[in-house]
Amino acid sequence: MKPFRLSRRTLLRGAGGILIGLPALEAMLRTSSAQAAGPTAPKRLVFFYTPNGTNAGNSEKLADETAFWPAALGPDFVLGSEVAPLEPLRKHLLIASGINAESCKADIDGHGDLHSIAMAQLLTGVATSVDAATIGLIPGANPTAYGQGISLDQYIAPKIGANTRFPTLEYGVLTTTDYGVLPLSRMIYAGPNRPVPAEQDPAAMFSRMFSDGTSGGQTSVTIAAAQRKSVLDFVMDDFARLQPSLGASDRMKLDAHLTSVRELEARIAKQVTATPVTTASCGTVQPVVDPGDPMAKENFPAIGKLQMDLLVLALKCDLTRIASLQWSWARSNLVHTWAGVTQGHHDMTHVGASDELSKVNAWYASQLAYLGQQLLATPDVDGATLLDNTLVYWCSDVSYAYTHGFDNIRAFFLGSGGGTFKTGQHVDVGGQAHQKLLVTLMNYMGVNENQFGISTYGTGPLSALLA
Amino acid sequence: MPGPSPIRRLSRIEYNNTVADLLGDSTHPAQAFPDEELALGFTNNANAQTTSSLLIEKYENAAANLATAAVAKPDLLGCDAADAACVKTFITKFGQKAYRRPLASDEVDRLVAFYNTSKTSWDAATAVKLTIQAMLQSPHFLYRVEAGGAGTPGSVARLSSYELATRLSYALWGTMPDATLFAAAEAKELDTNDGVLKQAQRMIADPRAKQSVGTFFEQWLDLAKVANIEKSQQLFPQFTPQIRVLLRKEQDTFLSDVVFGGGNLNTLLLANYSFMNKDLAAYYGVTGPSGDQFEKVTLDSTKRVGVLTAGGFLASSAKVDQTSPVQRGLFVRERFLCTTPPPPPANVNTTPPAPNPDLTTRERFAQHEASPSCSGCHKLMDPIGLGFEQFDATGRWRAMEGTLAIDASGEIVSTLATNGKFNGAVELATKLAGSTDVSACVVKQWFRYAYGRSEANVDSCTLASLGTTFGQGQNSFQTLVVGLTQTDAFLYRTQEGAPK
Repeated sequence: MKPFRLSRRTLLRGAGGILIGLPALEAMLRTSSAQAAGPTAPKRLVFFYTPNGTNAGNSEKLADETAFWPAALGPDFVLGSEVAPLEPLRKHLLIASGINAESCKADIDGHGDLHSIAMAQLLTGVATSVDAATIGLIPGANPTAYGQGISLDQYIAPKIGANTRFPTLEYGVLTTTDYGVLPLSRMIYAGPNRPVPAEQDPAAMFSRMFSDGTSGGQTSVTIAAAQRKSVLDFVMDDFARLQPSLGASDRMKLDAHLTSVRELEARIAKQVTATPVTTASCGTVQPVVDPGDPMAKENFPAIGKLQMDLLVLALKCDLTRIASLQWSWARSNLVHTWAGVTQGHHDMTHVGASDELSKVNAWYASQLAYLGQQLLATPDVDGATLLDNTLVYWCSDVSYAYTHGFDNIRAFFLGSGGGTFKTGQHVDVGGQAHQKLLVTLMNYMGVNENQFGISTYGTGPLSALLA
Repeated sequence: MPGPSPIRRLSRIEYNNTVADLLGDSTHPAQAFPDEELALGFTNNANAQTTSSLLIEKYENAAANLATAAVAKPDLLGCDAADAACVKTFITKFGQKAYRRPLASDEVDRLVAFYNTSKTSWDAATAVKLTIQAMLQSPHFLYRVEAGGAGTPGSVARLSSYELATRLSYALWGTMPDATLFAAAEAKELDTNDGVLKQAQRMIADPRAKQSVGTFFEQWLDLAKVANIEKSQQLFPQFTPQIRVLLRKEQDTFLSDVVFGGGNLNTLLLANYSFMNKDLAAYYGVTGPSGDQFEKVTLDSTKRVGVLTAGGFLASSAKVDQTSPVQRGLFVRERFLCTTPPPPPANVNTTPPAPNPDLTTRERFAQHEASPSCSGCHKLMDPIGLGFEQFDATGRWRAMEGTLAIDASGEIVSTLATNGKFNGAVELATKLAGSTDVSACVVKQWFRYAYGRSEANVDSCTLASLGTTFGQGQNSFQTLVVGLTQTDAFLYRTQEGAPK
């Protein structure tokens, strides 16, 4: 299918042959009047997760450390074989050594799978810190707990004052484990024990991003929104009427449901109230048609590419300012055959360094490079590029997979975030808690609070990262 | 005492079945809902049913599509959409099915008012559509709301007749009640345990019970893993993608036969038969089937008996290039003995030693026994898993491991009533079939699945009575499933908020 221009009358055929109307898209766009006034671009934050850390480290079982972490600090760092695909983007790259997931260490003894602990704390900064059998959704049900706090993206989304259609968007590539959905699958949290699932199907994500609820484009945006609102009002009233007769925990559960309905209604209202603008800033959109089965392992690279394209589009069209892309799951044993690999990822990490393991890391680095290149190729409203006004944080669960280490966790960044962050640099923060990194990201997005997660591990930002 | 009754949301399977029965849907919209969280091996645990914005959007989307399809059918109302009296009748009848109980008059009034307002704002056909759309997003449709004698916290009350009809239909069929169940609810037949029993017996004999039982086995025995089995093509060229499909079908066919052929726990673990077609028989080296259809075949019961010697289990609980006594032992431990060893400690190499033609698997895993940091937990798993060593990584029988003789002796330790040595998978299965630990574990697993929650201390009476029912019924699965509808946990609920 050839690309098309977005317009009020544009229809496109989504996956499964369903007609998706795009008329409301213009309402989601930034106002053209803002452009005329000499626009400033918004700041964006993207979490880019790939599993199982790395094996570069100083032990005989591990690879030459410089395969992943450059030896030199400052601007003259040399990218090793596992991160070489990022070389074309080196002037946009910030590498931060010396960030430790200290709070994870508190959970090591008897609290279950270490990948899962790291995943639950990565963006929440909250240690589980009690016996796994007594917390979590189901006592004893999982080897470890779900996140015990809200994740940074969800926390700051309502505070950054962005009038975007989605507070955040969660993209996933085969995040369901071979055993089903476990805490290993969940990085984003709306609160303690409230995992936020990522959309794993790019066709569904496309329709979510661009559908406005009109079917076949026959109803106007205003009418469709009014009808949806009236239905949701009725539904919310149903919930409100039911609540008093319920016990405390049932009420909490339905309250979470009701809150999500209310948020959906607010999003619909935005479609109508936002100032209509031209499609100039969103440009042409390539619809997602027949992406293949997102749950089939052989489609992993293709699904991932589509999700990255959609993520870039979401930022470009200002559908959201905060997005995450989760590849696979913590402790994933995916066989990356397309990268010339024959062994399972997690299995390999426990054997030690190997060419195949390096290939997996380099493949993920090349995916990050693709995302970076796409952002770099996209002009932003201020005349700079989307990458210039974005910070992409490449994160993982454990640091050194062989030992399940928590020191020196992965912290590669692309983009300066509108000049907030140093770029073209390798810095060493000298052993600071990852809670401070989360504060840094929060401050960057304009939320000027001094602590996040468990503050005893550290407060304030990592100033070494800042320009 | 009934134990907790957390409110249950329709699972994805239940949602699809329900809209199929309610509206004749064949699009299975819940396929697009987010994957459900796994808890204690099952995806329908009420406490793990978290809500996300994504899910709520999918509900809205599904409701809009379902309502659009519904109003496109000429016979939905049987009258003009502008005929308010007729629409009120529709709302009353459709609402009774959608909410799985008669609507209170004020509920009908609210829905009619919503229809009227919508009709004024837009048009009559749209108003009917939006009314259906609203009902499909109502908590009364999406959740199984049980007021059950809403009394003071801690008070215990029997569920209403309609609530029991709903519990019955989702427990046995994974869908909304049928006309017979609704009629029984209306006639108050479910106010007696015998009335509930009568319905449960009818329902277990109905083909609709097969899917729900199949889902239980799929999740209890982790059958979905079979579709993902990867094997080294160099070592096992005969393990083709098609074999995965056949191995799964063998398990599904066998398990369904065990339950609906009147089998029991002994049959599950010790049956000397299975089901294969020509290709699968050739894979196993069994003679008999000559076509593509699956046929019942008699096994050499000195080698293979029951579910634990099915290739699907043996191959999925193994590595790409070798067997895994750890995975196989862990599976038996978790799924049949209901005990979960802790995960491996930090900083250990959990990758098995590479295959070595000069050492047997048992010899290569000897470090687990020798190392004190490993043996504490691995003695719970490895000695069970080593009993399966006569089956290779793809589930085929092997007399030798390469050129080396196989020692398939094993031992079960640290159980209440199953400890002891055995030799080979057949002896292990025999031991498990005769174990009260195993029958109690099966009861517990089915409790978790049917009631959508983990057992609490207060459920000890329910579990004990289920154990008695299961035992007195010669451990017949049909007896167990029907028995699940006769417990305090099923028939009663405690008003939430009770002091712990």
